[in-house]
Amino acid sequence: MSKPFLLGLIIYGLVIAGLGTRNGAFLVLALPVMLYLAAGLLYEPEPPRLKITRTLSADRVTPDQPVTITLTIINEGSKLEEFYVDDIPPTGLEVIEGTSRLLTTLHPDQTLDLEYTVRGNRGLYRFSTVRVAVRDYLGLFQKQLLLPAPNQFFVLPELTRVKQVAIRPPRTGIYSGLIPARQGGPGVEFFGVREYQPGDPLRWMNPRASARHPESFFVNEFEQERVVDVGLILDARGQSDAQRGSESLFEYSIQAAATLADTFLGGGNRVGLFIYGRSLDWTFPGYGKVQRERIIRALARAEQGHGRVFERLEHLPTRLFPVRSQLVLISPLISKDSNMLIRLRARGYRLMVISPDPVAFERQGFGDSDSISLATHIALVERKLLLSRLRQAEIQVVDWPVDIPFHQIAHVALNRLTFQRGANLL
Amino acid sequence: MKQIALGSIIFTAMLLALAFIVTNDWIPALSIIVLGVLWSAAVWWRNWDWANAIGLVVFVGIAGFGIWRNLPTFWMLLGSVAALIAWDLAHFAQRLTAAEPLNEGLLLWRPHFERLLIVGGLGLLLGGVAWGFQISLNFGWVVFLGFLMAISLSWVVRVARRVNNR
Repeated sequence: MSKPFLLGLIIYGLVIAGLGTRNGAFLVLALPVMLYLAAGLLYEPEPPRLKITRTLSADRVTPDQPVTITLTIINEGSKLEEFYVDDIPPTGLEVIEGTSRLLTTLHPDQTLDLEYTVRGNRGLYRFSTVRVAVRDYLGLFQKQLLLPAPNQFFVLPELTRVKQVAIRPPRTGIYSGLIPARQGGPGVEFFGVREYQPGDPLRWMNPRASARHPESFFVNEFEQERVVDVGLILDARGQSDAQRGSESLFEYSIQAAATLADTFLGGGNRVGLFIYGRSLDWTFPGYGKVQRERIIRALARAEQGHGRVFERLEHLPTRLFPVRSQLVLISPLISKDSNMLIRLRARGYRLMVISPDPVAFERQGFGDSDSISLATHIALVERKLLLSRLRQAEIQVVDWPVDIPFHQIAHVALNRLTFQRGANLL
Repeated sequence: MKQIALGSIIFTAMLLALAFIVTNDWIPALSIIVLGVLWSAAVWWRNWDWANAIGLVVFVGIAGFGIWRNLPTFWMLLGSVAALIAWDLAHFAQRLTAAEPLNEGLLLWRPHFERLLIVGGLGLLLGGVAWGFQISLNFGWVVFLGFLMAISLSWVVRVARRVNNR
């Protein structure tokens, strides 16, 4: 109930009582209340004219790094006797220092700085408006409005460094890189021997082969190293995720995707990212640091979804990825996924699956009982069968128990080519 | 601030209860004390906005009841002004609790108290003066005042709607 309305009712009640009983004392009781209401009306605030700007101490931070938000409010209108400002931080942010609400008096042309520090988990945090309210001194009349003060910052996913991820897709790019291209030419690794052609450097000469065939000279050939196209596919389907308290397996998938993107781009490759789950979130392939930033930001804002269309991997738009290129799927996997993955392999893609283990992850959230042990055992058998089926189709599968940091797993399982049978760490 | 609001609620309750104690009306006096305690508890522990509204209505109603029971009018006037101040302070305390006041002692408290005391004092003065000048109204005046009240009520409703729509 608003305060003027309450006071009005009291005044009305007292006056009615006074008129009804013809007793002036009731009217006397109403007078202070009337005066109070009149004072409120007299000092009723004017609509505020404010200029608000929001500045952030950083626009991209790591998960534990705090961000200081400063709201600068300039009063361009008349005096605001009771000025209340409430800056509601986006969901997921925790205020660790200062306050996002303030009550004060704001004089004309006065500048007010509201500063507070927040911390949050991975994500994109968008600030849009600030709620301000002005009241008269008695707090009877209030003018409340939302003023725009947009800004945003990213809390980037955790990134670990992996020195090398060995891949060897059949299709390579035209630029020099680090991936063996199955073609002879300049390089480091020995590839073969061929007859000398004019223009070949003399230091390539193979004296033994040339000595065996006096009629011609032979030179060594090296395997060319080129850049490749890598398509990272991040599984953001809600149904493939596992939860343990407030922890989600999806966060580990994001961590792996960020690390792999960083490693592949560091090797000069052309990397694209496709987030499959909520919608079609496609980061067009590119090279270098700019692309790294694009991918990291896409991963920072990635959210899970439960879209029926994307329930299965069948709707994966394979046209986005060049045939015979390297695909890396980061997914806990569900049993229905195997057919689509085998089909992708059959189409000629070189496929690597990084699979955070949902069974081990969820298992730790439960107590010890016979039924849980049995259920875990069944789930593990199902998962092993699924992974074994994928390996039989020559898909490189990395089964990742997420308690082990990703860079350790990558160092063991991805450092050397194991594309025929894949890696199994369990 | 909350302590001052509580003090003013208890003062109001004691003031009104004393008026009934003087005339040996113990049951209303005890009821007023209990209601005062309930209002204080609601402000102290729960910060309930509606408790303030009920507190004001009840205490002004008690002042009216006192007048009906022929208790001293100025005492009841004092009680209703005290109730109004207690209600205002409880709301002010709520607003301060909800936000982080900047230099609260200087910027907000003093002007608020000053205006409140001026309004309360003027209200008391006006009430006292008005009580001194008693006039008898004939039926025509009563009808006119009733008409005026109907218009003012519609104005109050309009103001309340405007406030709610902001």
